Amino acid sequence: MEVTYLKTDENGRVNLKDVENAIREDTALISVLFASNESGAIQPIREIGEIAKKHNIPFHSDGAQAIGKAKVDVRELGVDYFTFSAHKFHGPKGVGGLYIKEGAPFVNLIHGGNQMGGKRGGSVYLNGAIAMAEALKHANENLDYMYSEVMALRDELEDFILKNIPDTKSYVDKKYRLPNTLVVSFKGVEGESTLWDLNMHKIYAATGSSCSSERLEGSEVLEALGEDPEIAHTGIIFSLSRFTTKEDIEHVKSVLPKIIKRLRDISMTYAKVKPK
Amino acid sequence: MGRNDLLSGNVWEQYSNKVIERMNNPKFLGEFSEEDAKKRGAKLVVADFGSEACGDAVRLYWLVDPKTDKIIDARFKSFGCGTAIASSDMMTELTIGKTVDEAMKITNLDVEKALRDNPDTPAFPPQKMHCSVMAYDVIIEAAAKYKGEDAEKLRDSEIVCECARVTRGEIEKIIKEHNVKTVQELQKYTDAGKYCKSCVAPGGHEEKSVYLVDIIAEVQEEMKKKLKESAQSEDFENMSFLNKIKAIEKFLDEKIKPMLAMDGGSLELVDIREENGVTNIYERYLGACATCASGMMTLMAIEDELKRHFKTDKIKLHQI
Repeated sequence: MEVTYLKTDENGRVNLKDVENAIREDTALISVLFASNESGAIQPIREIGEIAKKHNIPFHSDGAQAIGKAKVDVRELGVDYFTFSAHKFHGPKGVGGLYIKEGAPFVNLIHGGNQMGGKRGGSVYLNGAIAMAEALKHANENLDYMYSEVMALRDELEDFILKNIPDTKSYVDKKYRLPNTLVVSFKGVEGESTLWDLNMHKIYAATGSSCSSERLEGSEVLEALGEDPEIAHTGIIFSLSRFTTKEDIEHVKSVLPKIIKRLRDISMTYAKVKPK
Repeated sequence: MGRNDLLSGNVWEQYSNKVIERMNNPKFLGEFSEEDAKKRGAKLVVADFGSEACGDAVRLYWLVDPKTDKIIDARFKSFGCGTAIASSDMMTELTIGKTVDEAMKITNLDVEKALRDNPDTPAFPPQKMHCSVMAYDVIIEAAAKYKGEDAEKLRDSEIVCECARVTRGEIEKIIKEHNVKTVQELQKYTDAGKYCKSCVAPGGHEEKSVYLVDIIAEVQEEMKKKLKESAQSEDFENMSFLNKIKAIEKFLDEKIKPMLAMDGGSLELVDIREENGVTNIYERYLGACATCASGMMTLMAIEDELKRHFKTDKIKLHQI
């Protein structure tokens, strides 16, 4: 089985021409993330759905990061399969969903019994399903709130950082970005050390720097967005929810500049004396 | 697969208190300038290692007394995660008071041990070991700068696994001794590749110039070739043991037994053993030879014949 990976541009999006050109005689599936949890970038899913339909190729999109943060109507997207996970829209962990368009082919993941109409051995986790449905309802009801209040808080934080902390940069054009996501680079300060300090102040963010993951490998978010490797390890991802308050943002604003200053004092990027 | 892998625990929970203390309050953070050096009658050494592009970099400042080569004071600056900051801080502290040559002996293993709260618990989890590797490397850079030499020459370039400090020579020895074919087998006898895992195979956190999988493949190839060669070798000393036995039997049958038969005697090959590079042949006299007074002399003559025939000194003939 071969996989063709497509490149993304500086906004983290795939190019529609690349999608079309990658299609072969034997292409069995096109799979594209709806929105990225690492960069907030939203892919042109509807347009890719049209390409898939034109060439009669099954099309899957993963919407884990999208639900509750962007409008998702699987009937309009042209997807044959759509996946999501409850814990991403404030439902319980341990349950997710797979939407399968009527008539789209699929094979069981869990075999054994003939439960669930033969489609999934064993009974479905009912509590989880009910909770997920409820969470989904709330998520969709609050989409407007996401796009107004929450987005305003995100913008406030982004503007504050770019204005008040020197040598910072944000990524992904807002018109292609989820309303709750902010990725910022802080020159001279490695991501994991920033997270450590934020953690001390009870602020929990994420970084694209692979130093903080268990395996030490994996993609560097910022490098994928075309940033220089020297800056790539300094990225911080702030991800807001509909529960984020003004006080939360004020807290980050009061603490972040001090953190960056402390870490830049440690970093040789801002050192006065250099090796000869 | 350790508990760490199974439970996917928070990496930070495994930091020792000493590491956390130094991450929050590094004691030897700072810089020295030429003026500082002049005021204290010392030579300023400033050396970098690593790069921001890799996510780990450190700058080491030394004030070295040129009369004694002693590092009278040291400071550092570092770009990297908390472990890197803590390791650099400890490394800097360990160099103070030592001569440049003494400092060069400090390795990342020393730094990690010094950061432990108690001797049995590592200061940080294995995948974080590589952050402390810079400690050794930047000291070498600083020492090279001070001595005016090439850092590459001073560095122990044989090292394949930087986290565990295992040389190529050590790894090759293990592969040969235990006929190691996989990295898993190799790791029964060494810690190489157990920390950041970059040296195991391409595609890890850092690119390396040589990987464990390559060394295993190369050495196994070499061992196979040697086996093939010894199977075909005419040279006694390079023959496989099986072929030695066959050749000795053939020689005794064709050249020695007929000679003994002329006097009504014979010998019987009882055993052949290789010890300390010498092939020891054990024989029992039969027939007339068993009671012959010249038995000892004949034994020495046969041994000489064997040595001459196989063109080697490394044969000893024993009578039992």
